[in-house]
Amino acid sequence: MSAGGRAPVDLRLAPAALATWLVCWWAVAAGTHAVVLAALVVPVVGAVAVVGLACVPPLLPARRGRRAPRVRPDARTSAVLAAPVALAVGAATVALAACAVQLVVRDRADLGDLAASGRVVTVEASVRDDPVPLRSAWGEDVVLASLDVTTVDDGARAWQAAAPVLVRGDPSWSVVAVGARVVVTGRLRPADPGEREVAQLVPLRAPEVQAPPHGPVAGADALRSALMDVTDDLSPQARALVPGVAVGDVTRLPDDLDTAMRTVGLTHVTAVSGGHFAIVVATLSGLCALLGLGRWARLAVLAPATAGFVLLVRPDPSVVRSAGMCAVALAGTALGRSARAVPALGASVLVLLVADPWLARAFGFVLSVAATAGIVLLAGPLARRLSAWLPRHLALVLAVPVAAQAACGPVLVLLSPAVSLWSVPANLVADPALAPATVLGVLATLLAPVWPAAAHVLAWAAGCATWWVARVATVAAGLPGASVPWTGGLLGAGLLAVATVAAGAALWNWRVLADAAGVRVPWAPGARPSLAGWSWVARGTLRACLQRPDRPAAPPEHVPPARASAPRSSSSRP
Amino acid sequence: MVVERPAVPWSPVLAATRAPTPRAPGPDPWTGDAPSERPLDPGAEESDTGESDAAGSDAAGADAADVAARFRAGAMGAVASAYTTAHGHPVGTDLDETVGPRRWAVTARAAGLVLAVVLAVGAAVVTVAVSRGAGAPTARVAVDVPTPRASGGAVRPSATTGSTGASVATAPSGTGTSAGATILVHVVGAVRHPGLVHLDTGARLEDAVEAAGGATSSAQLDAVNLASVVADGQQVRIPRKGETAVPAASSGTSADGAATGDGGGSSKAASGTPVDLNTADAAALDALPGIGPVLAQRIVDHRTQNGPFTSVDQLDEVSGIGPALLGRLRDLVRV
Repeated sequence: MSAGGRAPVDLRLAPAALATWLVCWWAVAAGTHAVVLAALVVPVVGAVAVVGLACVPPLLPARRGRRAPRVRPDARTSAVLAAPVALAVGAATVALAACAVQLVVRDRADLGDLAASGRVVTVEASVRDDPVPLRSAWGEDVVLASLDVTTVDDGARAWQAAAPVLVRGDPSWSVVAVGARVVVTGRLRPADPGEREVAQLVPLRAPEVQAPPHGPVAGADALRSALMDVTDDLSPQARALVPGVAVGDVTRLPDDLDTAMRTVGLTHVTAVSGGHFAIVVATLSGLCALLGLGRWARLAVLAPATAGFVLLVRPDPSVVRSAGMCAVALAGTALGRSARAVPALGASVLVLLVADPWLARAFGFVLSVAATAGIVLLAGPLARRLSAWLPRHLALVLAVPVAAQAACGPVLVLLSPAVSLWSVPANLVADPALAPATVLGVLATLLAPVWPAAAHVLAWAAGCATWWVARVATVAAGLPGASVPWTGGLLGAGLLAVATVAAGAALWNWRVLADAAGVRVPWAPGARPSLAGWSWVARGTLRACLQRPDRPAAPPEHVPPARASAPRSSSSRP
Repeated sequence: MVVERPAVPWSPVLAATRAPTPRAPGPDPWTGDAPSERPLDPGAEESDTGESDAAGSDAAGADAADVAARFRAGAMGAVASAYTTAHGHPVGTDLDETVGPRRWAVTARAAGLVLAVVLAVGAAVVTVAVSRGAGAPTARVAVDVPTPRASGGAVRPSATTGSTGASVATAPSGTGTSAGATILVHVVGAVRHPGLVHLDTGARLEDAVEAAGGATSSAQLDAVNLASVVADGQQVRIPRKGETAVPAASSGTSADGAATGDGGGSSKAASGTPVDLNTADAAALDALPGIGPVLAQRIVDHRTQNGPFTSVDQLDEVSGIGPALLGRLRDLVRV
């Protein structure tokens, strides 16, 4: 799965994925009638547009010629635009239609009407996701559990249904297992628009479990609970974080550590995220390659392992995103083609949104896609720019958290109106511990039911890695500037996005800015600064600070004159 | 993400390197251009040489570079490329890979292929959704509800458990939304034509007595609460003068006490006998612990608006009664 040097960044799926996302974002919060109408109107309008583009002679050949330089400008230029538009419209239409059907099915459950009048119902349902304990604003312990309702009984009638509801229960709900069948009696309340659940249910009693989970879900539960047993007697941070990095179970996370990790942007460590998934898949791929397995053997190992890991850690949005990209990579392997991150991201976003339009408003999905897109698209250019100052590997290592943070920052501000100045350094320092913690934690999980002693040792070793993460989080959260208040809401997100873009532009045009500020920069981009160069900069900076900031200093002899040496000399190839 | 612009100082070089980048034949929407999966076989495709750039650039034929390339293309390469593909994190890859020219143009064939895949996924989603929701017909499935006529004479709310079966059986039409829905009440005792009477929802005991031909001269009407609301499937007994007026005389338990006969007596919580939510009047409900006149009136109003309660749990629907109060009342009331 190699990526070619100087290969084009394949953004062909990006317009379609974006269009689908916009449509899904709107549709899940709009009324069913509006979505059905849109599903009928959009293809008609889109078809007219596509036909128009295909027939009308190109209006802006020069502009398109720049974007797609290899397409002959004289022939079929309009088709260049028609095909992407057709793809975007078609994908959006399919997403709308699928969403409309799902909305109609949910509406027929009638739960929305009952919730509007606050009726008490008894529902039979299967537990969809792990219960999430949280503390409400007035200090009450609440447990949120998502259920897939199958039958509803309002006392007078009973009927079958297929709709999710969100249970807002007391702590007795924290023990229900994913996949279990439960019977609940409670009062329905309307859900927020755009939520996946059609209604909230405030239960009147503890859940009646009719049937425990069965099949693969039960197996995953057994593994998870075995890991919890094995890690029970570890240190406080390890017994909380090892299950967190291995299977995404954060129920034991102490409040102070949780707050610290949230403050410095390390939450992706505590819950299983796309990164964990990638580590596991990468480790397995490496093992397969070491064993010299062929293409199909690799597929036979990786595909079930991927599916099993999704089951083990629960299909949270970021895991689903990562699994989607993995599936694309595996499909590429099956077809004997290479897979690259950019089209894989586009394809998985497209397919996942068609399959589950509610992901469009799931913060986990938004964050995961934003971080991945940031890394995929920004980390490379950023690292190349940073390599003007830093050794290449260091530049890449630094560029990744910066790119991820730049992309995620505006979304994170929507969640909590604060910006951490230490987020990037903390991620930079903590991330090396993530891979060993994940691999050891997952190994401990797999061994826990059959060989608890060995699993305990592995979990202890993983705990050493998580100790580092916890330490970094605690220290960084205690530093000044760990949590700088920022305007919340869309305004704050927009402001932070503008600030990020401005900082990026400043970094990109640093030479212009440096010239404007009267600072002479001694080396060309790509020409690695030597130790002597660094010390010269340090001395120059010191001198400039001590004396007059705007006075230019003479460049030393050993530094190549700016722009004279071949740009990117260290990386250009014949 | 258009960051490479002609204004950037080294754009001539970029342009120069951009120009010869080959566009491989057979573009595939999933994987980009590189048609070969094997990093060790650079082959004819120039775009496939990235993984072994160490070998390609400096010393193509040198053994050391070859070994290095093999190593990179081996386990470490697999790890790096898998991680990169799954997470986008360009581990150990050449920086230049991620800064190639942007490619937006889609061929009709690629667009068609992607659309076909998306369509297949959409069709699968629709199929699953419809099959799961297929049991949700617009006409609701009623569970073991006998017809009102059949249940009318037989239902005796002696089972005070409020189980689902009983509650469903008592109110098949009670929660109907139309105002014209009728209920069936069994009036016995000192009335002219004892038997089943059809009444409008929300009818009072007086209406039931009227419908049964009116009270006989021997009826002791002050022993019952003529203003109480009668519920579907209820039996009402109008006592004769001189008959033991135990049920109703005590504290206005109304038809409830009369209907159950044995269960009569005071509705006070102290008596230990559950209060029937559907027949008790505001005064009887007021006597319950934690329920004052306002809540009692709300319960009666709820009953009037929505029809009889079919389970004690439905008391939670009444504004002002929460799970905590309901928990205290649970043993004191029934339906």
